[in-house]
Amino acid sequence: MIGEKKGGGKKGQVTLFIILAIIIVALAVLLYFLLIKSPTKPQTVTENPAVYIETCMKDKIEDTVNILSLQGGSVIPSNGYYLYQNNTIEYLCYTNEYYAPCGVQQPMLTQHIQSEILKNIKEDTVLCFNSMKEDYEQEGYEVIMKPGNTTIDLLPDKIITTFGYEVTLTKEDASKYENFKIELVRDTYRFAAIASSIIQWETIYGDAEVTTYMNYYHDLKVEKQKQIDETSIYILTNRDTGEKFQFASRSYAFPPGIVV
Amino acid sequence: MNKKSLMFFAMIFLIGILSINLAIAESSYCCERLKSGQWCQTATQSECATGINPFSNQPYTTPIPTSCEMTSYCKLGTCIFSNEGICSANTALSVCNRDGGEWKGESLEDLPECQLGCCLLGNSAVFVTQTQCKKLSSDSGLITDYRLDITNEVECIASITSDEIGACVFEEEYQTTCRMISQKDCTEVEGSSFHTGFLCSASQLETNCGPRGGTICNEERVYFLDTCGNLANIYDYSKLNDNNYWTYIQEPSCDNGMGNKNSKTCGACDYFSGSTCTMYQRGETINPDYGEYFCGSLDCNSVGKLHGETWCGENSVSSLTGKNSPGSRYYRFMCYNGEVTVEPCAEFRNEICIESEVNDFSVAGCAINKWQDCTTQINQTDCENPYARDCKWISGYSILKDENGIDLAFTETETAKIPGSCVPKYAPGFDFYAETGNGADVCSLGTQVCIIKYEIGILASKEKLSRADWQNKISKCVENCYCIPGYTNGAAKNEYENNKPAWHPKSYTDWVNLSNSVCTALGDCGTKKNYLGGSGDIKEIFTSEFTK
Repeated sequence: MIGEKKGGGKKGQVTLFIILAIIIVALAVLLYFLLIKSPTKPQTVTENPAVYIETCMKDKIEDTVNILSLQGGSVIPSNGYYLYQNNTIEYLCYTNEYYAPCGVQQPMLTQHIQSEILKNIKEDTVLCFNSMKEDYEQEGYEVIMKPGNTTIDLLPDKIITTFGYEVTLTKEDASKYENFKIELVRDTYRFAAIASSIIQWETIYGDAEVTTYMNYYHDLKVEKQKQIDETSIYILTNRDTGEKFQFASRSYAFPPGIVV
Repeated sequence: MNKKSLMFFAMIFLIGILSINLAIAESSYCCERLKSGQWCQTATQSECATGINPFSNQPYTTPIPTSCEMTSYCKLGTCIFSNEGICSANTALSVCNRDGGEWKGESLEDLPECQLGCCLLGNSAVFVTQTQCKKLSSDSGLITDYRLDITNEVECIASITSDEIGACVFEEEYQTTCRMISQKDCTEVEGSSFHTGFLCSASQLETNCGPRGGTICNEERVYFLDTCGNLANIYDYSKLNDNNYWTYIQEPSCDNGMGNKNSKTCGACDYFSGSTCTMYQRGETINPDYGEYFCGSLDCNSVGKLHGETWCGENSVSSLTGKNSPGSRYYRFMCYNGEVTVEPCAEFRNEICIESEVNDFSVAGCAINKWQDCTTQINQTDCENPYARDCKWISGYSILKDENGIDLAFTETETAKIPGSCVPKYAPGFDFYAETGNGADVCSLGTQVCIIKYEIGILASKEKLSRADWQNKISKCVENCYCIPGYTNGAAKNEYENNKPAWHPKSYTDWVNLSNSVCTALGDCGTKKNYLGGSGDIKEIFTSEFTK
């Protein structure tokens, strides 16, 4: 009797473990889909594939701009960074020495931001266009798609993403669509220009006067937070939209205490 | 030479070679890139990145044991990106090459292609190079309007002028209507007529636009609107029913020249005077007499500061009185757009906050604390030269002494040479948490040794005096009596009191205070409370007696 009871217990345990394993796997799959954000696939196809692409890509571009804006213009900072409030903020100007001016680390900030956005949306661009092709084909369209280059233009007040794809849709009539454009209203161009200007001051004086920029641009808040190793974290905020851009600089640092 | 001796010399030779190698490895090299990612930095060889440079697909340049400015690959210059019209000063050659720029040794000011001018882009303006302007204009679909005669950014932003607007009257849906636009835009409207200096609400234009259509914010000021939604003149309640004010473009008469903060009747706001167009919210005390907008104040009323004021914080004020507690630092506060922001000055009191006030408007800034060469000054004039350093002179004791312990720093008067010490006016802080900190060495500069002389007679013994009480000792003292605990003026031997130099401390307490003021000024030394008010260990001041 005792032996039989023991056998039943083992079977029960195995079943319990299998159920637990299934739950864990299911949770893992669910978490994967929740955390790994895939492009926002439109619910329905419309007459104009540009609307499809905009719905599919806009979030990705916005997310990319948000991330790089908090990290000195890079999605993954590679020129050294300062960890500030859980953000890895890239140095746009840096020296590891005392009493020395910083050297510019990112001389073409605007172009760097453009290339970072481009790099980060590359994969999603292919996914979105392929998914658009499939969806239109399911709706009975014949789709001829010619991939092309994607370009990012940082302009005052906006970011324009142009997908150089050529798409021809044929159902009854043939319609050709090209140069799909997505326009985001963002202050990134101005932020990059101001950051470059601050960096030029940092290279000469090791500092920049933030009130000068606030007097020029009334809708802009500029903050400078000096850290313990004399790294300066600059935070630019658009007062109207709350949009932020932050970057780090270390220049003309002084050591603590009298040098004996 | 036997085998043992050979082995010994070989070992010495190997240790020598190893030491030289270690010394080289520890000295400074110019790394094209650090392992942590930064470009062109001076560091130890082990910190330099090795392998293939992912940007050039070539190996990183072998580090050279010299400063980066002396190398061919990291010297600083101007990096020019001709296609984009961008010039970047103080950029290393490697960084410039990495991004595909053209590097030049000249400074930015000497390169004509890097000169900046004002690029007008419709209703905005940017201060950029001509090439950048051409690109921006083309991207925005505008004709390039580049002004080299505007030489700074402030003028550039101020130069944003839209074409003069006036009333453009035209027919629309069988009605005569009007829009406030420029003459150029008006000519593009079919069958239109342009009326310079007139408002659309002018009755003589006989349009469907009339006066009193509400108010709106425009360029930070409050404007009247006509009934068609066109901008009229600046909101002036006294002119609400003035036909002339609704006919011609004109300035308001209500402007007080100070931004009309919180005025219910005047919309002539001025950002630099501390006001901007603000929408009335239900429940607010300021309710404009007409419309929904008024000139809201940008001042920081909670702290009693005006918009644009900057000032030093509480912490700094206590530091200015000379406390400079361990762990404290200076802060600058700013009031902008009704919001107070805090800017910490450099850590370790390497920067101080300086504040001045003009017509009740305070202006403050973080400035470098120039204490570095204080302790090497040998006279009060040089010490307290405000243009050269931030130091103060403490009279009565010299921390600078020669090898025989003779004082080296003095204030010279007609009658005496009074020793003194030049110390930081704002005591710098230490990196007390770091193992490599030099706090103990710095503080030891303030260590004083006071040698007291006693006259005890031939028959008296030194041992007996050492056991005597303070009063007894004071009565036998002939030199530096103030170093004896309990010594006060008049209690000592008359001879000493009559002959001692005038600058000598008058009591033991005075001497301790003098010593402490020298010591505490050097940094986080002496007996101090930290910035949170916590006390450290009280060190023994009187440490030895009768050791010789």
